[in-house]
Amino acid sequence: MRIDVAQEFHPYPSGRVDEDGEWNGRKFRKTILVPRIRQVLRDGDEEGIIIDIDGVRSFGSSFLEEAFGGLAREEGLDVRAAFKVLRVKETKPSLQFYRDALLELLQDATAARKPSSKSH
Amino acid sequence: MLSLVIGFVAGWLASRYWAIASENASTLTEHLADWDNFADLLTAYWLNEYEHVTEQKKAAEIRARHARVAILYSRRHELMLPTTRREYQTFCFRIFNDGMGGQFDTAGRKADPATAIQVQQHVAEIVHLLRLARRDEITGKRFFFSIMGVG
Repeated sequence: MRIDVAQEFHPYPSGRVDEDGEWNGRKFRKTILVPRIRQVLRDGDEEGIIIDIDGVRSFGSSFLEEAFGGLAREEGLDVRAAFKVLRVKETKPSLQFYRDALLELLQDATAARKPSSKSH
Repeated sequence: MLSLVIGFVAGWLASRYWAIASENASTLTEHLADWDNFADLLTAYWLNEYEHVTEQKKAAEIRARHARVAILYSRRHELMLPTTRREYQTFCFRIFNDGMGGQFDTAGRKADPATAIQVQQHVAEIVHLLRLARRDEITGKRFFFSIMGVG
């Protein structure tokens, strides 16, 4: 399963909530990300979800944090299970930073949910 | 005759290395300037109150400048030693999360001098790392480590 962020959402996503702008993190999480994750987890799809960020111009940190950091905080998802099915794809060198920032965010969220880990 | 050939090859290799090292050092110098410009924009953003009319324009300009400095991130393996590279990555994440996160996109946000200071602190670290990388390039240290299989 693939999510093309630029095509299916917007090439310039920004902000956390509707008040920050139309293409915000909460909207992406609720309308696209969470339904797909729930479907993949329900179906046991081993291929997981490829998040293609190639068409995106840039991300704001608040968008990424709300969209992906909110998986556990707002949606109550098992972040470790969600993390296992998510892959990030980019072919443009300029987007490697955002890919790594997104992966770092998912790893931090996963670590925060472990019983013995430090709290944020 | 053999010594002449060896000398010629060695000289050619040295000049090639120096050309590449000079180009890499120039790249690092330009990115230093890019980071300084980015820091100034971001600092000004956080030192001012939200202004509805121009805010989206300012935020877009900051994102555009950030996309520019993010290009070096993809080349850090070619231009930095492992320890410098890891620290560079750390501070890139910090400035992205602290400077472009939180209330960055929030309408009606207040001026936040603390974040403005943090931005300058993070970029000062980045500039320091880029200067180290430039020095390592010019002195041949990074080349030496790369042929030794380190980094």
